[in-house]
Amino acid sequence: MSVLRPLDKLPSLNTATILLVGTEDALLQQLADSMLKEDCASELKVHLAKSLPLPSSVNRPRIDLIVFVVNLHSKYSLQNTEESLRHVDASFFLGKVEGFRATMAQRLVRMLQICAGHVPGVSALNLLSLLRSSEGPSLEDL
Amino acid sequence: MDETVAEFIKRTILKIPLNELTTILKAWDFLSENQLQTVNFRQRKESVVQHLIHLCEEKRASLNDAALLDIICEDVDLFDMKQFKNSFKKILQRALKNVTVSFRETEENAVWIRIAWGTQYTKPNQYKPTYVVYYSQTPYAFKSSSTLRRNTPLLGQALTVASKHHQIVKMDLRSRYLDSLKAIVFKQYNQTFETHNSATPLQERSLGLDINMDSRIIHENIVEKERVQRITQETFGDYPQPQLEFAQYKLETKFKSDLNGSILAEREEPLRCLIKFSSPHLLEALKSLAPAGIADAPLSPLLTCIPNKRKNYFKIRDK
Repeated sequence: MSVLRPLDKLPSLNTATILLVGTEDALLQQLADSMLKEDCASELKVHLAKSLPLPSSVNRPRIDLIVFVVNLHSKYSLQNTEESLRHVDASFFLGKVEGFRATMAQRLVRMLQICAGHVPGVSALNLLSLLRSSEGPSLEDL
Repeated sequence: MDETVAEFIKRTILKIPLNELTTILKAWDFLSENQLQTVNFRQRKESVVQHLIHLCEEKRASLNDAALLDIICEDVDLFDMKQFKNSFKKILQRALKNVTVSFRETEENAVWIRIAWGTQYTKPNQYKPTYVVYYSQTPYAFKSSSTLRRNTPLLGQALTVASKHHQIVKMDLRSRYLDSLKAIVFKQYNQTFETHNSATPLQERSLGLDINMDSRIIHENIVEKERVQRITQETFGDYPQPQLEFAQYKLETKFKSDLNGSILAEREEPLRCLIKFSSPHLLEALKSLAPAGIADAPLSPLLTCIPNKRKNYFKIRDK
């Protein structure tokens, strides 16, 4: 079973790739659209998937950030997320984000830029260790 | 007139019961009004037939005319609207004394019936009528839900007898839209009017979702999407679905448990539960479940069988 591991590919110049995983395609589309509307110095690429694992036949760039979109009204959505999580290395986990779509899109874009290494002074590794320590800032503060 | 033609007409007419004879002869429209008036239909049948043959000879009936008469006779459901209305009204009036029955004929051989119900002692209530639509060329009638329980058997009886059927069966199919009920009952919902080019790539066909053509968005699961789309199309077709508002499932089952001595498992009586789906357009909603990612394809046959089985009210028991 192939597992996505963090930092196992080289980043591409000025491109930040995010993967949104969730059962409800319409929700993923809407979030993708909101994110792409944000002002962003980096070139954004949004991959949408229903579940993991991703089809292996495709040549895809390094994924800087994975977001699992769960519909809390749907058991099906939660089950799908749980099953998909098995394919992601545990060290990948950063936290959860809640809120209105517009603010969420903004936060995700900023996080993505950090993860892609486009923000000077903050690296993806920094972020992992920052969020792991309980005294560190929460995702909302970023 | 040819001997064989005469013989054929004679045998055809002999097969017609006397009470239907005038109706059929009128429908045939070969013998004129004047000619028919000269016939005494109250005589013995042989005499009536002989007279009719004589008239046919006068008018020089051809084989074609004879064949036409044969076709008309074969139409077993020869429907007499006047007779239906009289019969229907009589049955209700005999039983209830106070009842208002009105009829309106429309195209498609449909008759709309309005019944205001009273009792032996009270006048009909004009504010709570029942409406029935009977399609005379079919064995189906559609009834509004506003009937008091106690009048339903009588209504059924009136319809059965007046339409010359043997029994009436209630279908578990209900909707506010008569056209949708008709589409399902007469199996007219599955007409596809457009031709689809199945070689069109997924991105270009309308999926009912807006696939964003922004090249910065990449869909990873195209194969899965196509599978879902294909299954949905196979199940629901390309045509618009008939409009229903509910599907109801009454379930009776025994509780199954691994634990011994569970109170619920010891119950003799089955557990009953009711699941009701409601939507302004239920079948379209079900059709969009898998493409929207809310359910997996294929859907449960209990949901997809609704138009095919012509029911949206189900009772499910343990086998």
